[in-house]
Amino acid sequence: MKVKLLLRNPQDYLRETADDIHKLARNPAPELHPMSAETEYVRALNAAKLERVFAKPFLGCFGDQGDQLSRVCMHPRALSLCLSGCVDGRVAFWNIPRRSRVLQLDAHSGCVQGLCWHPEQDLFYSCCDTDRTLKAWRVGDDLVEFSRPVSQRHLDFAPLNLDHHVSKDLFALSGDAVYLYDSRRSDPVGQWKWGSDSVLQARFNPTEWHLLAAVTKDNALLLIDTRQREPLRRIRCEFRQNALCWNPQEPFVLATASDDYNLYSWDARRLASPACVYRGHTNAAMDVDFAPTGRELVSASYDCTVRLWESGRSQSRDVYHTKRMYRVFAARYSLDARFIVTASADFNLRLWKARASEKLGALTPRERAAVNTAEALKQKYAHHPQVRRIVQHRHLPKRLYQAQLEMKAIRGKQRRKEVNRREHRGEDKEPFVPERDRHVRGVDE
Amino acid sequence: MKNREDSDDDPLEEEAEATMSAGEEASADVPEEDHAALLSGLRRTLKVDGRRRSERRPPSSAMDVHGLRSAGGAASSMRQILATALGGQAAKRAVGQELRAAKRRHRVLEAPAKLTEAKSQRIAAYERANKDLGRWYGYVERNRLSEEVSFPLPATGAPRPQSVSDYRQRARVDIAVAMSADPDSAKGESGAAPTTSAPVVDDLESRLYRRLYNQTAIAEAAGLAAGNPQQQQQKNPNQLDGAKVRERLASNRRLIARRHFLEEKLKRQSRIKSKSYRKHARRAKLKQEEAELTALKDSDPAAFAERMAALERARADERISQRHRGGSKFARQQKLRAKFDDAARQAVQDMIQRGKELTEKTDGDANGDSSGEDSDAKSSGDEAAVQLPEDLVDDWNDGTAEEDKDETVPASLRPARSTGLSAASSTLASSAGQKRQQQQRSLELDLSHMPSLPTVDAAGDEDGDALEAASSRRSLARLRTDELLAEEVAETEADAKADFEREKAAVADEEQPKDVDLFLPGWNTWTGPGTRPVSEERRQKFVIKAPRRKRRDAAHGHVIIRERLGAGQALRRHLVKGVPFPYANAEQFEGAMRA
Repeated sequence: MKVKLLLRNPQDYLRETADDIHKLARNPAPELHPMSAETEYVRALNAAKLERVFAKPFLGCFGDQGDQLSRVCMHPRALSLCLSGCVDGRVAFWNIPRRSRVLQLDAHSGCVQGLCWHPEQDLFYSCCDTDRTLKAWRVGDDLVEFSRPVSQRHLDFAPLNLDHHVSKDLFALSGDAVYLYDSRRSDPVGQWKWGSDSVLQARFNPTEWHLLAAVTKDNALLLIDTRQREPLRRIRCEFRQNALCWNPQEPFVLATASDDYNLYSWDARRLASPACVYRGHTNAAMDVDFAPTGRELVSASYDCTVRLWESGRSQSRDVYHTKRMYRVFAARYSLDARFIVTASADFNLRLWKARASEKLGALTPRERAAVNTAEALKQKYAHHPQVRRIVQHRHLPKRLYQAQLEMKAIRGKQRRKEVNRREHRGEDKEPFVPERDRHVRGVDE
Repeated sequence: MKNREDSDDDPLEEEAEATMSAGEEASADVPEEDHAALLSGLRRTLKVDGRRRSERRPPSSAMDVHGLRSAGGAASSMRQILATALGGQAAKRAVGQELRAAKRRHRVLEAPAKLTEAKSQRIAAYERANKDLGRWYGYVERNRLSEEVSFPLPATGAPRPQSVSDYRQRARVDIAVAMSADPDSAKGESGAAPTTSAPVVDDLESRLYRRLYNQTAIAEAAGLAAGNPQQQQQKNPNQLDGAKVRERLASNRRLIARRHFLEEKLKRQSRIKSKSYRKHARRAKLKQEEAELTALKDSDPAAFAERMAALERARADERISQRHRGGSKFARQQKLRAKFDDAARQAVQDMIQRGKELTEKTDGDANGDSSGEDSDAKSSGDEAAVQLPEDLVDDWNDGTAEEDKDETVPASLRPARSTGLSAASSTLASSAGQKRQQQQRSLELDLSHMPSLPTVDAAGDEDGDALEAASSRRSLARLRTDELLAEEVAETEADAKADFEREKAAVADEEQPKDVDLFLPGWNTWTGPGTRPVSEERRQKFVIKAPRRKRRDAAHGHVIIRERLGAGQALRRHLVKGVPFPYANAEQFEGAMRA
């Protein structure tokens, strides 16, 4: 007797467990699926909708700090640690995943203006403009050790910010000028100033270590080489730049947060105009930070929101707000670029996801595949109006929504006026000025 | 003080004063108003601002005292000097030279060297910094374009995540290994020695693969063949060495084994009785033949012609056999042939037609020649036609004929002539047509009753009265005809209007979304006789009313605006309006969406 056998792989049609979904055989021949394009479109729409359904970016609040928070500083090596500086002079040390305060110090007698970690040692610095001191603190297993500063120095100027060199024992203090300090010496090793107004913030380029960028109160952006006696260049802007940040992956790119509600990114090699203008906030931008990937930006604003941006795209990718969050003064990315910590005027530190709809925790391979598919679909159909509408839609509080509408109206009016003027006076008398070229008053060499 | 005030005075006034001092006696008798008018005229023409002082001060001796007169004299002397200086061309040149020399002598002072040096140093330093930064450009660009970004988490020696390109590279190597180890899959059954250009990778996976599929000899041979064929030839151009002999023997053995396998396979296949298997095999064979033919057409036209001739012979054989069936082997082959030959296609069609004719069952009654309309009428109500008297049947036929002739009535309004319709309702529906026919008939009758009109030659014979009478009769006749025609026109107009309204109502009804009745048929009826049927009120509760839409043509009595619902309108929202940014044209974008 002859027995005919068909060879089949049980994995193709049997489920692994009884709780699993039933496997369905599918013939992938395209002629059998004449509606495949339509199906795919609907799946893209659904993926976009589900992204919005799962968009829950707010992870938690760290608890009342007693006063407005002015600074946040992430640990340079540990993912889970961060520091916060308070207006009343207290500095807190946080464990992020537990949302618990490890310790709190009465560090200064006024607002903590600068906070930064030592890149290699368990040491951090803080400075204050009221008591004009710079203090170094050691973080060890012994909390007693933690409660007293390791060293302290009195300054003859009011420090407004602080940044540590990436590898050397140098830090930059900004006050009435930019001062470069060596931790082993009492006097500054370098000093740069252009104009009479004080410097708000100066930061080291993380890659080209000898380069510093600084923003000043007289609306200028300075580029400084620590090997030179004088700053290299000064860019006079229309409005004050409140904060700045270098791109960690692209050494010649830096971003500034401006008082004119915008963020600007600059190419240090071509400082005549910003490389990109990021529009969207409805009040002054107070802080800006690049993601460690160098592809995204986060900005904190006086309009009580946090916005996320893709580097080089002038529209924000997302906007975060809560009912209780007030003016946001600082925002920082975590080391893995997945989380954001913000400090705001409502005495609270908040933790957010960088991707609003990302699922936290381990993903099963099937989940991972589904996420990847959804991403690919959204990307493919990104230009379709309905998909774009769903992906871009954000529910905003009425106040923000109205402010946005107002800004839109103002902008529209200005544009219309410009077009009219160009039509009447002619292209040569009223040439078109691109958005990038409108925000710089001049460059001093 | 006074002097300064004077010097601030209107220059025109001064000049006027100067001229006045020149001829004081002459101007003494000139009236004051005239002089003011002259001055204002001068001001207007010379456009000199005279706002500072509106009225003229008379010349006084005090002015002389302060030497104003002398100042005027100085001005005149200056003017004289200028006039002499500009007198000749040579003088002008001299002045120009002097001016240029003066300019050269008095240059604006440059910034102190300390400042310029600092600036140039800054610029140089900036350029150096630019250069340093610019070195990162390639890295940054690559990073921007890459699918994945790796950023270091310090103090952890975590390996770099495996990128997509790495994975692809590995996959490619795997495939290459599989190809080199499995010559049948790569080369088909041609039996040629495996000579893949892909390198034979000797890693664990490939070794396992070879061991599993017992292809060690093949892979090794491939490795040898790929490794040093030329060297061997150079070593022994004429003589075969041991290795080569062994290799050749091995290849012979392989060939024999392969042939044996093939024979076995064919034998096994020939024993299979499964119908579906045969069907599949047949189809596969046909497909293969087709592919071969297509390939032959391009590669070897002679062979192609031969194959076509063979097919032609097969066709001739089939014609002899008289088996005119669509599914025969011949037909299948012809279908294949028809791809290249129109005549063959025609032949297949002919054959099928012929087969149909031959196999058609012959009918007893000769009703085949009746017209389509009649057969329609018959099919619609042949039972009724049998029972109805002949005149009614005639009427029915007339009516339908009339209806069919009337092309102006839209299709939607024509009475439906489905088989389910009863004869009585059909006659009712066609009553309008009948009526019209009767009207026509009556019109004809009326015209026939009219007195015959005299011919032209008859009119010549008769007298004036007769003529008059004839003309009056003629006019009367014309009048009656006109009336009748007008009536007829009015009636047809009314008919057309009614038709149009009916059509419009039908369109509106068609485009109006329908109510959805969710009432279950049979509800409350299965309990048997005697139970009360569900009340209409209760039934209506289950009906979901469709929203009443306002039609765009509601206000226009003479227009039908068709509102296409659904598809077009709803779809428009989903369409991309322009070509999005990275794409240059619509084709590119469409291609990207298709992929």
